[in-house]
Amino acid sequence: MAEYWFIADGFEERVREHLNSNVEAEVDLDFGIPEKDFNTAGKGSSELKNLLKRLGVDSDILRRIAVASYEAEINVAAHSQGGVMKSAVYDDHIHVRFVDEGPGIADIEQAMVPGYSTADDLVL
Amino acid sequence: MNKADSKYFHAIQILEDNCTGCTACVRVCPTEAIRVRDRKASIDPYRCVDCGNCVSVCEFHAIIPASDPLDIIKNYKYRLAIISSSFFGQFSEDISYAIAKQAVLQLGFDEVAEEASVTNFMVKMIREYIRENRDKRPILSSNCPAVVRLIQVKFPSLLPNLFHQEAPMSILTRFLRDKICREKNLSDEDLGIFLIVPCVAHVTAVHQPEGAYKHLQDGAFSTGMIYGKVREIIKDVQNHPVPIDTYPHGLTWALSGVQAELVDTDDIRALSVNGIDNVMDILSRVEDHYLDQYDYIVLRSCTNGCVGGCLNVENPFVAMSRIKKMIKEGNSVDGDISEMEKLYRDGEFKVSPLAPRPIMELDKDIKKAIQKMKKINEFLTMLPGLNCSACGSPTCYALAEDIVLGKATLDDCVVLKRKPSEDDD
Repeated sequence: MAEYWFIADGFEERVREHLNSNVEAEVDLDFGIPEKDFNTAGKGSSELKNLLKRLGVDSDILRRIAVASYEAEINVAAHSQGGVMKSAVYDDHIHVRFVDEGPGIADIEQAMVPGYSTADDLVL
Repeated sequence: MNKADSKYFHAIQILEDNCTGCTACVRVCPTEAIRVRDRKASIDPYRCVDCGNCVSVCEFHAIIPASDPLDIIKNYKYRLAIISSSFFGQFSEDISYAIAKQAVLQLGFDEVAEEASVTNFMVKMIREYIRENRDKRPILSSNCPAVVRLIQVKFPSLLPNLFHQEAPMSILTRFLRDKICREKNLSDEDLGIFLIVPCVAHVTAVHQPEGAYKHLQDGAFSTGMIYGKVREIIKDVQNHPVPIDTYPHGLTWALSGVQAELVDTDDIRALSVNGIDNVMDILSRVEDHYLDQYDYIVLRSCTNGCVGGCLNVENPFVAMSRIKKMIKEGNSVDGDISEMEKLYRDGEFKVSPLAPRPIMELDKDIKKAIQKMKKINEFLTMLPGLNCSACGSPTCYALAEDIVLGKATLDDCVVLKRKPSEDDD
């Protein structure tokens, strides 16, 4: 399984620490994302948002998580053969993973080039 | 009306004798403010946003809207009624707009004014506000008091996006209070200003305005009550009509869709949403920055806008159709709005920044909130997951939350109680 990471500057240490630790999440929230089911896609991120509101997470952080997770959830529904959204809340951070089954990306290096798209030329 | 008992006044009253504990209200409350315990419903005043869903759904006449009795106008020397624009959609077509308005006047008022008379001014002001606040997108309409309160309790991060100016009936109140006192040589106490409103949220707003710098109106009458009194005298009014100004084009204010079309222009894109479930869905999308392409969103808690209010007598679709007909056929008098514009520029209609009233937070301390959430999840696994509301909480999750917050026990679950546990076999 391939994993690709973007880590915001200054957070490298924090992310490494999280990945290396085996601390169990305080609260878990899992949501299935069926393939091409656009009626339910978005429900997982909306539930995550409700959970974070209940925990009293700062509204700016909440909105950033909501935007990112909604985007990811829709992408999983649209481009994979289905997957799952796994949110884990710790007492000072949140880890949201999107795991899906799919055809993969033919050329990963190329896909990481900004602006590159496999979409039809007619799609601007 | 008695408004001293609670920090949060609501124009909704529960008649315990009539309540059967059926939980219909519990299930329709958008903020999960109602619980049935010991077979009686009660409303958490902190969570309630006055949407009126419970009033409409109660079959036992146990949840009733509170509004003022007409008699209170007798306490004032000069009486002004301000009529909500949805009012004129209530009458069958043999009763004309002008006749209905004249009948209201004859109920004992010295003057009647209409919300519809300031629609043009509102549209101008809203557009100006949108252009002056380009950093905030989208701007959210603030006319519906239930929506404003919903944002305070469930979407506090969107409070800065609210249109921070008074609603039309309050603007009219501000404007006419000074004008009438001046022209008729009256003191402030002599003049009584009353609203005729389509919903409980507006009644609440009159008695406990959010963000208003001063108390504006002296009472709020329900459209249904006024409608009944108008019907009693309508024949007589029809036989003795007098000339009266009407504002058919301004009636658009009662219809959320048409109102959005009015604000929409080359550089302003407007969206209209009505019905509280749709409103919540849209607000959640606004929170996700998914609707940033809109400059203005008209949000109304009731179906089709104010015509759907629970104090109205007519079906919201019929009322909407009638109002559309009036708009199409009527000639509006375009009032002079220069005096009002001056007041707007002087900042007279500004409201103070609205404060959040978060209801979802389990605890102020995030670590404690997490511990509570863990416990809620533990209880949730014990509950049947039927969301039947028979316990009196709206869902199994809500019951689990109530248990953790000390407001219920596992014994409240009717299903668990009925099912003998495996140890008893």
